[in-house]
This record gives sequence, structure tokens and C-alpha cells, in this order.
Amino acid sequence: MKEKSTILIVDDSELNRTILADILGDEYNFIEAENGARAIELLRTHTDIDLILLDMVMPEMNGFDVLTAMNNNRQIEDIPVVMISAENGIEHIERAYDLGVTDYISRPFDRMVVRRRVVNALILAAKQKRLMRLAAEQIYEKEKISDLMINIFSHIVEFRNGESGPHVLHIRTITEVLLSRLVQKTDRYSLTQEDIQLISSASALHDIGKVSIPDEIINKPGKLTKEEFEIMKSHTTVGADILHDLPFSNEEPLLKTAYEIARWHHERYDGRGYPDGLTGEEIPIAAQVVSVADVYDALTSVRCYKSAYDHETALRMIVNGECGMFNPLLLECLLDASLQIRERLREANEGYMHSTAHTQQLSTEMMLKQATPQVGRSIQALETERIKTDFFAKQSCGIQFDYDAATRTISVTDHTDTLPFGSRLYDATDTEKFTIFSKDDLHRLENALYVTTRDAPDVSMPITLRFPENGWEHEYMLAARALWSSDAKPRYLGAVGQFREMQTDIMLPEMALPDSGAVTGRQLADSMQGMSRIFDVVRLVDPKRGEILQLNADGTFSDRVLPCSPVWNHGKRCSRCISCRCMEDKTHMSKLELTNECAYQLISRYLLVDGRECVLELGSRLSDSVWVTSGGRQFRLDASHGEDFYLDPVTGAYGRRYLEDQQPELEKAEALAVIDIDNFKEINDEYGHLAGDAVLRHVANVILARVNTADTLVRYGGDEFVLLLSHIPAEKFRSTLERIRGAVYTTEIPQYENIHPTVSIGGVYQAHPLVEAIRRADKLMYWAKQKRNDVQT
Amino acid sequence: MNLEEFYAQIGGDYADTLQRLCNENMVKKFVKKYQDDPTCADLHNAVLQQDWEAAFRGAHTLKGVAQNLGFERLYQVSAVLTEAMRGEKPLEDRSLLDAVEQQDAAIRRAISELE
Repeated sequence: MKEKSTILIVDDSELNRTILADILGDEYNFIEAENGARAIELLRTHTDIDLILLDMVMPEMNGFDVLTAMNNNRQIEDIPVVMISAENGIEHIERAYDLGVTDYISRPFDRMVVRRRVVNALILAAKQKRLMRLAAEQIYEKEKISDLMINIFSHIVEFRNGESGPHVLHIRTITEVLLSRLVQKTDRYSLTQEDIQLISSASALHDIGKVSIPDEIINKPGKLTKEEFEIMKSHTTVGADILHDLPFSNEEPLLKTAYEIARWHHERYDGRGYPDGLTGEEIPIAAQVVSVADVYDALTSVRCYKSAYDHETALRMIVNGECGMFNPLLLECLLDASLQIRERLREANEGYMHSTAHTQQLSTEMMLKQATPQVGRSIQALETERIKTDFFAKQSCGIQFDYDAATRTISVTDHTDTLPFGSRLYDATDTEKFTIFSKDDLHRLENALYVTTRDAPDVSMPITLRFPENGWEHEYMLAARALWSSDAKPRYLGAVGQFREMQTDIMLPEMALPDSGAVTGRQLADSMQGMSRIFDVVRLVDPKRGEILQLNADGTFSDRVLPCSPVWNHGKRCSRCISCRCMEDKTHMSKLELTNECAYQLISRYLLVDGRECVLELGSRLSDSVWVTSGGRQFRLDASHGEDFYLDPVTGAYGRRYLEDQQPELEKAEALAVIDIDNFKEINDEYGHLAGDAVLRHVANVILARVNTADTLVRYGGDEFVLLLSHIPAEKFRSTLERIRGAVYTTEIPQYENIHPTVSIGGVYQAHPLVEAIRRADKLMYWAKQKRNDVQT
Repeated sequence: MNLEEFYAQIGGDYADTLQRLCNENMVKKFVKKYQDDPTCADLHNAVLQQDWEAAFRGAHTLKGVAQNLGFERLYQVSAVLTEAMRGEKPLEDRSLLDAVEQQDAAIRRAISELE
């Protein structure tokens, strides 16, 4: 059921290859190569190789040649290689490790050693891949956000300046091309790929100070006066001030670079620029590059005071110093890369964005550990992300889950400090040591994940986490998302997810009501009937009036109205009534409503019932039962949640369990009686059990016919009932019990006319708590029993 | 002849091989596969053609196979042959090759008598 890992076995002896494949068994797929050249070819054509077992001495290309090739095309970063050879010389082993092998197996093959090393190498590689993926995603996210911010900033400026649309994009592109050329020519400025990225991003903010320049000056078609030019020049210092005063650390590299660029992008190499008249290398390289880019783009674009020059003319003017003097090395770069600039600008104008590619390049560079120490920013960013993830996971009481399908490793990361062993990595292939899930749970989970698709990757199910070492176990709800590769033919890679406390993860079924919310009263009455089998609370309210609307069976509204809040038992209007909001927005919402005794998951849904606006409220009491979603279907784990579960099948009264479960609610009963059938055992013995059952049913029916629907009858023992009366005046209590006693005696039992059972009743009024009341009523009942067919209160 | 007797006859370590490869059927399967193994013949041809690179490789491969199968005697003689030709050195002492071929023939004979 799990996707098998694919192992490439490279060995010139077929016999050796067979031995290896047999030793490893059918847990893996195998591809075989009889020499190094064939292995390289297979690596090119098979993208699904998870591990290589590599012999050293072979024809064509030997093992070292294969490793060298894998280093050249960086495959060694992705695919773990386990080297096998009879060559046990230390220099061979060392050379292999230098070339990036993960492990080393020497001949003769030992089954256990080979198997263990292969599994270890796969686990290690899986961990590395996971980290790579995480790093790439986070870097990409971060860059995307900074890019967005920069774009917003720079568009404000552009809009204000009335410059040609893509000026900012142009500057960025030219800056990047120039810098890339510059690092090829010299390492004088020690710029990393990341610095280039940073400067290019920051270049977008070069003219931010122009927000302070009056419109008349910025958009003046003719030449500026001396005073006007002085004001224009201030955009450099103003821009620098804006960036300096931002509420971020000035050490933030992006801001620091943006500051340099904003302030000094009009400086010239010979000191004739503004605002500070810096010369030569006093001008930061970022500002130098942007100044060249700015001039080039200004020349080749239409401005309010000039038309556009063509590419060649612009280059000539810059090189001839018509726009001031620049770093000669940068001019060389400009000439070297001029065609590339023209091409890239054309692409940029076509809306071609490079940002994704750059981010990837950046993350790759970082993972290959080739960047200079200046890569610290990204590391810091990663660290920050990690802390953030940790924090949020902790806030949402998360226990995270990560599953790698290839190695069947499961890592459980506890952010809640509830697990006895914190965070750990588990190997599901090791059936003896894998105890965190039961075999059943593991099987169910792997199956459920395996049958997901890329479009429907989510699974949720209850899973029990176990630590048999110290007898700890706890049932959680696991919400997981299967990971599928983004290839044309998606491959199942594994899953991530979160364990949550059961109660917080109740899912509610879809309501079979039209999206518009418009229904007829008749339809709704039927629907509500059905829903009442699923939900503990089903009612229609007018939240604006705070009233419950009663719907008759024929779908018309009843005149009877009741206030809606008492059901929640906190005696006031709800503080955050979602029904009011649903009514306003004509939508549906859900929340958790707490009463004194328990919690309800409440759904409110706006409805238009025969043209009348109202809200349907559905409440589920939170308990052990949960809804489970799998493969797009929902089903209930514990179907016994409904009222039926509590009913005694013989009499239709509640069973004893109801009394225990609902005790808090039942405590409110005003009065209580214990009703016992006299000589029940004799009736059973004489007439048989069917007759006994009929008697029980008869007694229950008689009682229920004489009390209100709000009262509760419980079959407490074999022939003993407990009756709870909720709203009964003291003076009517005894007479009610007397009427029950009399009715049992006088009413005939259908089909058993010759049986005349009697009951003895003990009743107590205003007795609390419930258990005490039952005890006292029981005692009274025994007194009554002395006479039979009697009531004692 | 059973597998244990086979190993005794050809000078191999049955107990160790069985322990390494875990079960008798697997060992037997691999042993029988040796009959189709072309390494020794390739080695012979390479020496005849004085292709010392291929000859070294052949000896080396045979050494590995013998080691994996626990053919101790074959492993010993092919190891000596391998070292004699390491660095693609021409084989001076042909008796080293003869010794290897003798073991190879003995093993093949014994395999054909295996139940």
C-alpha cells in the first residue's frame, strides 16, 4: 500500500546484484545497472530513484566516475549513495565519503547490515528533503512578501511621478544584469547572489523621496529653474530620511541598502553629483549601479521633458559622459551586457517576472552551503519562521505530524508539552519498535492517505497516540493533508497534519437546504424533523426579536412565541449572537456555546421561510462522538449519540443510563417518585415473560399519559420506574401519584385482561440532590409496599 | 549431496554464509546461480587476450562473488590473482590463474551433484 522506494543497484556481477535484491526483498523496486555508464544513463531517464547501491570496480565507468558525475550535476545532493566493495583500503573509503556517499557496505554481504544501512540512508535522505522543501518554501514566502511591499511602495511613487509604468521594473532588471556582470569581472565588491537580489529589490525604492516634491516641479515639461532644481535634488535626502525613520531596525539589510540607493543614486564618480558630492568608491556599489541603471532607463524612456533615445544612442551618451561620470568598470559591464539588458527589458515589458526563479536560485545556493557568511539574513529569516511556526503551533495546541511515504517514517512534534516523550521520529517499518500508533491505526491512516488525490488530499480521523513504556495513551483527532508531487503524473510523497483534542474537531454534516436560503414552511418542517434526529437543538428563531418561532407540522407559523436565549441557560441574551449576524449578512456561521453543564457546537443559518426572514439554529452537544471525513464522505463514529440510545426498548421510557448521563439537567426536577410493580416476579412466573413485558409497557404508558411531556420517566430497575416531575405544585404532587396508582389498577391490559397489576409508589417533593431523592423515595416505596397498591410521600 | 556437504567439499564456510544470508533456500539459490556466472570465463579470455584491465576487473569481481557466497578457497586464490594484476599489471605467474580455474571447476562439479 505504501509507495515502494526505488533502488538502483550498480554492480558488474549479475550474481551480486541478485543477491542484493534478494536480501533487500520485495519492499523495494529495483533497477539494475551492470556498469557506471549505464548507471549514469539510468539516472538521467529515471527520476524516481531513491537510493543507489554502488560497486566501485566496474567496466566503462567505475564507481568513482559515477560519483564524480553525480557531483557535477548535483544529483549527489538528492540521491543517497551507499557504496559496496571488496576494496577495504582506507583511502578508497575516504575518497568515497569525500565524493558524497552516505554509507559504506563491505563484502561479504550480511543481510541484516545491508537492510539496516539502506533503511538508514533512506530515512536520512527523507529528513534532508523535508528540510530542503521547508527552507525553499519559507524563503519563497518571505521574498514574495517583501517583493509585494516594495512593489506597493514603488507604485505609489511611480503614480505620483507620472513616469512611464515599468520604470521601477526596468531599474530592477538593469541593476540585476549589471551586478551579475560585475561579479563575473571582479570580486572587489564581494557580492553574493543574495546581495544582488537584495540590491535589485531595494533599487525599486530609489525615488521614494519624490513623494515630497510638488507636482508642478515633477511634471514640468521645460527646464527647471535653479530653485526648482534644488527642490528636485532634495528627493535623495528626503527619500533617505523616509527610509531611515521607518520603524524597523536600520541594520535590516534591505533598508540599509535602500537607504544608500535613495540617498546616493545621483552621486557621480568624479564627485560632481548630489547631495553629498561623494567620489569614487565612497559611493556604495549599490548606489553606483542604480545610478547607471536610472540614467539608462531615463534616456530610453519618454519623459515629460524629453522623448526617448534608442538603445545605442543612450549607451553612447552614457559612455561619453554626457550624463556625468560613472565607475569605468560599470560602464564596461553596461557595454558587455547591453544586448542582455535590451533583451531582458523587452521580456520585462511583456510581464515576464523572474522573481520565482531567483528565489529558487537563492534557496538552492543556500542549501548547497556555497554562500558566503552574508547569507545570515536568510538563516535568520528561517529561524524567525521556525519560531513563528512553533509559536502558532503552540497557541493552537498543536501536535504536528509529518509522514514520509518512501521511508514510512513518522515524526511527531509536540508543541504542547503534553506527550510524555516530546518530539520524536518513528520508523513504521520496524513493527516491533513502532508503538506510537496501534497497528490498526497505522493501517487505517496509511490506507486513507494512500487513496487521496492531489485535488482531494485531506483526511481526518481519530488516532490514539500511545507510549507503552509508561502506559500513556490518549485519543486525538488527526487532521492530515497528503502531499502529492506536482509532476504531470502526481506521486504520493507523504503527509503533514496536526493532532487535536477530540472535542474541538467536531464536523457537522451538510444541511440539505438550498444555497439561497429560500424554503417553504412545509419543506423546512420536514427537514427540521430529520435534523432533530442528528442535532440536540433544532429550532427556528427571529434573532432580532429574540424569539423562537414555532413551525406547525403543516408548515405554518404558530402564534406561540418564546424567548430564544433560555435554552442556553445563562439567563441573558447571548453576548455574541451569531444568529443576529447571520440575519444581517444572510449567511451561515458557527460557534461554540457554553452552558453551565456542557458545550454545544452551534450552527446558525439564514433562511427565508415563505418570505419571512429567520435563522435556523442547529446545536450539537459536544461529546465523545465525532464526525469523520474520509474520501469525501462523512460518517459518524458513534451512532449511539441520539436519544434512541437511551430509550428502554420494552417500555419506551428512558433507560437508567439516561439518568446518569443527564443527571445535571435532571437535578432541576421539582419532585421525584419511585414506582414499583407489585408481585412482578409472580406475574412473570405465572404468565411468562411476554406478559411481563406487556405489564411493564402498560404501566409506563399509564404513567406517561398522566404527566407532562417535560417530565421524565426512567426504567430504573427490572420492575421499578423513577418519575421526575419538573413543574408541579406541591399540592398536586400527591394527587398525581394517586391517579397513576389508580389508573394502573383499573385500566385493562390489551390481550392480558385477566392480569391486574398494582404499583406501590414512594414520592418526595423538593429533594436534592437526585441520588438522595431516589434513596428517600425508595424507602417510602418500601413502606407503601407493606400495603401494596399504595402511595407514600 | 546437501548444502552443508557441498560447502565442506569445496572448502567454504557454510555456517557463516547461512548466518549472513539468513536462510538455506536463499543460499542454495545463489549457489546454483553460480553455474551461469560468466566471470571466470571472462577472466580467462581477458588473460588470453592480454587485456590486463579487464583481467584485473574479472579477478576482482570473482573475488567479490566468492566472498559473498562464502566460497572461501576460491576467494583466497582469486584474491591472490587480483593483487598480482592490480594496476593492470600483466600476469607473470600463470599458475595463479590455473589455481582459480581449478577451484571454479571444482565448484561447478559440486553444484551439479547438489540435490
